[in-house]
Amino acid sequence: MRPGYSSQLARPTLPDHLRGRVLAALESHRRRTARIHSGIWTLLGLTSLAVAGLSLQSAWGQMIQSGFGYYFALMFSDVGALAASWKELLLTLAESMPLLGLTIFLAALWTLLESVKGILSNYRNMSLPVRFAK
Amino acid sequence: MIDERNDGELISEVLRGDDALFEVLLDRYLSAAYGFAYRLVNNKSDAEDIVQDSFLKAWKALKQYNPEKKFITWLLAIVRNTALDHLRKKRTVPFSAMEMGEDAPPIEETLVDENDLPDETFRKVEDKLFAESLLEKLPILYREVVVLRYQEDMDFKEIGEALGRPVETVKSQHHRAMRMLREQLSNAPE
Repeated sequence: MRPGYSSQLARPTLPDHLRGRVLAALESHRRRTARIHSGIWTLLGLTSLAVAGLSLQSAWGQMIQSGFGYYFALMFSDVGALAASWKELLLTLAESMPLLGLTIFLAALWTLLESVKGILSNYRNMSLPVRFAK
Repeated sequence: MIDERNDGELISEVLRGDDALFEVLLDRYLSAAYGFAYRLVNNKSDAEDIVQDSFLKAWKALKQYNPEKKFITWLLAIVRNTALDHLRKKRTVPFSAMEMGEDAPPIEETLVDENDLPDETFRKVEDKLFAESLLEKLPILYREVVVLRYQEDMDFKEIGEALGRPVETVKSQHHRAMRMLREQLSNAPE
C-alpha cells in the first residue's frame, strides 16, 4: 500500500456469501450452456441420422442400377479377366460408383458420430456433481 | 491448498477444459473485484451483482484474454464496464460523465505537474470513513483512478490498461483527483 491516503483506503470487507454466489452463478451458466448445446447436438444427430439413412438407401439403389455390384463381384469371380483388363475394370467400377450418394452418406455418418460425442460430453457436464466447489 | 501456478497457466488449463481451476482465479481476485465495484457504485448489493456478472463475463470471454497483459487489469476492465452499465441503467450517472474528457478541459487532461506530491495531500487524513467519504464525492472518472492507484496499488500503466486510457491521461486525471480531494480536505471542518 502506498503511504498517506492508501493507509486509509483499504478494500471493503468481502461479504461471506459472495464467493458461493459467484460460483453458483458460474455453475448454473455452465449447466444451462450444456443443456442448450446438448439440444443442438441432439437435433443435429437426428437430422444426420435421417440424412445418412436416406443417402444410403439412394446410394444402394444407384449401385444396383449402375451395375456396380456386378462389376465388383466380377473382380473376385474372374481373376483372369481382372488380370487382363484391371485398368478398364477399375475405371468402370469408379464410373458406376454412386459418388454423390456415398459422399453424402459418409458426411452424414461423420456428423452423426460428432453429434454423439457432443451429446455425451454435454451430458457429462449436466449430470456430473457440481464442478465448482460450493 | 494454495495453487502456485501463475494466472496464464491457470487460464490455459481452464481453456483446455479444467473448469474448476477458474475457482483459483476467483479466490485470487474476488476481493479486488468487489473492492473496485463497491467504490464505483457505493452500494454493497449492487457491487455484489456487478462482481457476479463480471466473473460470468470473464468466464465466457476467457478465450479473448491476452496473456501478455495482467489478468487483474483485464478483469477490472470488465468490472468497470459492468459497473458503468449498471449505473447507466439506474441513471445515477449521466452517460457523458463516464466518458473521457467530457468534464475536463482537454489541455488540462494532458498536463501533469511532476512537482506535486499528491500523496502528501492525505497525510492529514487519519479517519478511514472520512477518507472514504472524500472519495465518494469525486466524479467516477477520477474516483476509479484513485481507487486503482491507492486501494489496488496499481501503477499508472496498469491503471491505463484497466481503464483503456493512455498513461499520460491517467497521470493527469490522478493529479486532478488529488487536487479535488485536497480542496475537499481544506474545506472540511476541523
